[in-house]
Amino acid sequence: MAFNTNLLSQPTLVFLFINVFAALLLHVSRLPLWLIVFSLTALVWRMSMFSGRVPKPNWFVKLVLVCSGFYGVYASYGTALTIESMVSLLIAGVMLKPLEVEKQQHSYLLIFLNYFLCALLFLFDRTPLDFLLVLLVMTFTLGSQVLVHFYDQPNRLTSLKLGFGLLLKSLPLALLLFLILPRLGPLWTLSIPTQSGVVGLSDSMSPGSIAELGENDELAFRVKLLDEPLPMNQRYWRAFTLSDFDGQTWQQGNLYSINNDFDFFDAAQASVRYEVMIEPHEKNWLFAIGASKPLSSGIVTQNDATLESKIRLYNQWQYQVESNVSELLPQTSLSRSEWRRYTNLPKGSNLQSQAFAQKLQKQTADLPQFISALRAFISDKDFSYTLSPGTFDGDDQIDEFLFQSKSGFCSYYAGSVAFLLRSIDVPARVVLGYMGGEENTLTNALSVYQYDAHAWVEVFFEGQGWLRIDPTAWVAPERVESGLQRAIPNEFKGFNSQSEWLKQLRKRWQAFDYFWNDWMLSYKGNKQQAILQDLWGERSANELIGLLVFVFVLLGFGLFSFLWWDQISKPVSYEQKVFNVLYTWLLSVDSQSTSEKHSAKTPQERGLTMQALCLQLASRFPHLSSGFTALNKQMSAALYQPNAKGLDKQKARQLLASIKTLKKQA
Amino acid sequence: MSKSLEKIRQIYDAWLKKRLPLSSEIQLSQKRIFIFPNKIGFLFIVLLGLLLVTGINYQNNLILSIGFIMISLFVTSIVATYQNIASLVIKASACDVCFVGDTVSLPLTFDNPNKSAKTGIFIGFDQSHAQLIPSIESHQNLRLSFTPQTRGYIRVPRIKLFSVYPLGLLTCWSWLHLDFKGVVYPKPVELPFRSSDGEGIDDINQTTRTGMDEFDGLRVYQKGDSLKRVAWKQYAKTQQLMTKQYLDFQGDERCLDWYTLSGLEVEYRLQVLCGWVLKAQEQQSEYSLKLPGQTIPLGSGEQHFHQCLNALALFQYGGKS
Repeated sequence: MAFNTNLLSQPTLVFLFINVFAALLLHVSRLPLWLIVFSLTALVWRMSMFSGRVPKPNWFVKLVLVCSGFYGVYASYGTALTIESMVSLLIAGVMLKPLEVEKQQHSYLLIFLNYFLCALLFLFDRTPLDFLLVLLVMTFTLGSQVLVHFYDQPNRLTSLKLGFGLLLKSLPLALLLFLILPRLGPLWTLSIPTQSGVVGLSDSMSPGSIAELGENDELAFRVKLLDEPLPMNQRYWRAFTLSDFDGQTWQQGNLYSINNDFDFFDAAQASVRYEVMIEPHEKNWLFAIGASKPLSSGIVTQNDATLESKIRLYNQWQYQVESNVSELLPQTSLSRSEWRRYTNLPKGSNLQSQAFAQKLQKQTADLPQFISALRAFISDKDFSYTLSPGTFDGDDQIDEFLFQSKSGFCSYYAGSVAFLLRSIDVPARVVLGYMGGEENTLTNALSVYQYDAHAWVEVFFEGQGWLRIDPTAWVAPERVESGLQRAIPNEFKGFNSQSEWLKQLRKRWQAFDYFWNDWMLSYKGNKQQAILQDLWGERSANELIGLLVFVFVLLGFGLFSFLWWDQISKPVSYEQKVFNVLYTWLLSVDSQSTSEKHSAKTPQERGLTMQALCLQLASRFPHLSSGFTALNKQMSAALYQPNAKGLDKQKARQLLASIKTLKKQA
Repeated sequence: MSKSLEKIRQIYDAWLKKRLPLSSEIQLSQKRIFIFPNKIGFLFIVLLGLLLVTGINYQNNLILSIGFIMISLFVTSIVATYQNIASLVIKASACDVCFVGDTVSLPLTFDNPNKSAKTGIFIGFDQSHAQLIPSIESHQNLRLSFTPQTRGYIRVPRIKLFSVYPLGLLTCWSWLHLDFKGVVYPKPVELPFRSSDGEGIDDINQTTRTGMDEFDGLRVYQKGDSLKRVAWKQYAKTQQLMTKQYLDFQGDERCLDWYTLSGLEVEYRLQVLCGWVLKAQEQQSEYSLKLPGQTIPLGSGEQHFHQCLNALALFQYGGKS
């Protein structure tokens, strides 16, 4: 059997293909149907080639398959590069590879690509369960990599055990590398988005837009409060503001980042510090309450007092912020163009609402009273709060909502109230963000889910600033006081169990997830430095590099000393000791006389026996030959006589002593 | 260019020879074992690099952690690959007699002092023609084909023993400079027998001797044929040198004499003598062998046969090494 070109046995190949299939399963939820069918066809084809009845694909068939793979990816994803399309392309390639794997040398690329494919799952999913699954598939793939080298009798179980053993032995070093290797920044900017986009806020708001999020229980971000708790009704996480209304949708207006000298944040006011761990949403916006001062770098403040990341968030990120806890966002005045922007309404839109606002204005003395009247209007009349208010198809959707259906979600209320305020020339804007957050006492962190997405209104008071008003709270106070779950118990799609046990379990899972995020996913940059500093004390970057070099030298040293120890660790018997003493004597005699060095040779390599050694020594010292003969006799008596048990300690000592006397006589 | 390469090769060979001396029993120790990533290993490193770059660019700790696991798997596989072949004991036993150019199988035994079996080890004179040693639990035998090119004590070139087990990322190898006990006889050349009259230098006597043999036929002249035996009449007719052949006596006593082949190269003479010994043995005649400084008296039988061949194989052997 020739090395490297030997054909792999059928069980080996089947095991390998099962692993490839497992890697496919990891990704299956995101793949288009055709790709799954394509992959399975290729695997089934390969498996049926074992029977000998199904032919091997020739180069033309392979070419057709590769082209159809490319075409399929193009047809599903278009030409735009997305992570999904690239992973799908890779999967199509990997799934075709088994068709030409027959020999050992072909199998390596497939195995390595399988590892790669497993790891790429983390571009999409990062839960502890995903990590475990990937490790599982990797262990099996490692098993198949070992199996490929069982030439005579492939045994899957043994190879799996060996592979698992190798993995276990590798974990300590991997852990060390994970702890101490500094994380580099991105080598080049990647702006390849995911195809589906990530669930989250969209950058405009039409009446139904947030309701979709109300049914989504994915995590949006987490907040770790660094000082004191934040009451539920203050948890308004602003993401961005919408200032332009065209009659149908609210959109972002002219926003720009401001210099730090003009700061909304007021250090004299009550404030909280917190850390936000944000899930990637592929946009720039960040979440903060009220007037905020970013404590981390890479953040800019916008002219509407929202925070924005300098780069789009394709990865989890965390930042620290200090914010004033206040319903008022201080800003003394608006420029004329800003005033115009924040009071602008499209002509002839929702005339009924405009008339209603103007009528209400006449009945009230000032703006606070006007707002109270609005509040009374919305909370007294039979308005209801629901995720499924039905659709409006007219041009005047606000009229329809306020005077006919009277049921809707936060976006309906916020949009309508902002409209009503603008109708009487009061600057108002819609704020999009999240409201609320589930507290976990185990981790002391708030979890904010997608269904916490919320819209509210900010209204401008001359000389004071923007005041937050939340019309949803007027119609459904439970939404603000205790969250969406209480506000709409029947429609709520998130965790909604009354079982204490389940609640506890969920809490623990959240805590574990939090720990996972804190340690596995966000262990980099400042956090890594802080933890390393805790472990090693204050060290500079140079010292860290020094430490790394030290660790690698230690590792190398360990490896070499292992190799060395492996060689010399065999226990030396007493016979061997006596033998060695004689042998070194012979060597020293020879090196004196001939200057030839024998040190490279061991006595075994020179083919010396005890007898030969004694004879050689006797020939060097003829006058001691009787002594050597006696020595040899004693030795062979101890070793070769019937019932001989070899030399014991005492006898060995005797022999060594007699050698010493011989040496003296020499 | 090729000259300097040749020189480097010579230096390397000399270094290897010194480091791995000739021996009939070798235990693979750290001094004898070489280990280095192979092509597959470098492919692994390239893919690992890609994975790490992906992890870095997406700032994805989980992808990086898989990369770190793969880095340490590589390190672990250095130790595992080394351990798989370390402390293996290889013994060279006596091999069968053979002639130069014959293929002989070299008997090797492998002993594994460790508890775990040693698997996936290949052995051969070069990597592409290596053969697999079946999994060695504690003891294993294997025969390696070899075609000796020179007479004398058998000299086997360095044998490569290597393995990529368990992950195929690294090749771990050792050169075995093994001392097989065995003698290679000269390659027999079939020439008609020439006898000598004691002194055996004079060819004239041979004509009378051979004249007594029965004429057997003609064959194409070969280098070394006596001119006295050339069929000159035939030559005149056909312009081709032919040698007259005579049937050798069966069961005759004959003296295979070095000196009858004067004027020929030493090696060729030995080859011819070897051919004669074979022929004589085949015909079960009694024969003696006469070499400069050595005479093997008249005899027959297997032992005598090998004694003669041995003498031929080892003729002036020490001097020319």
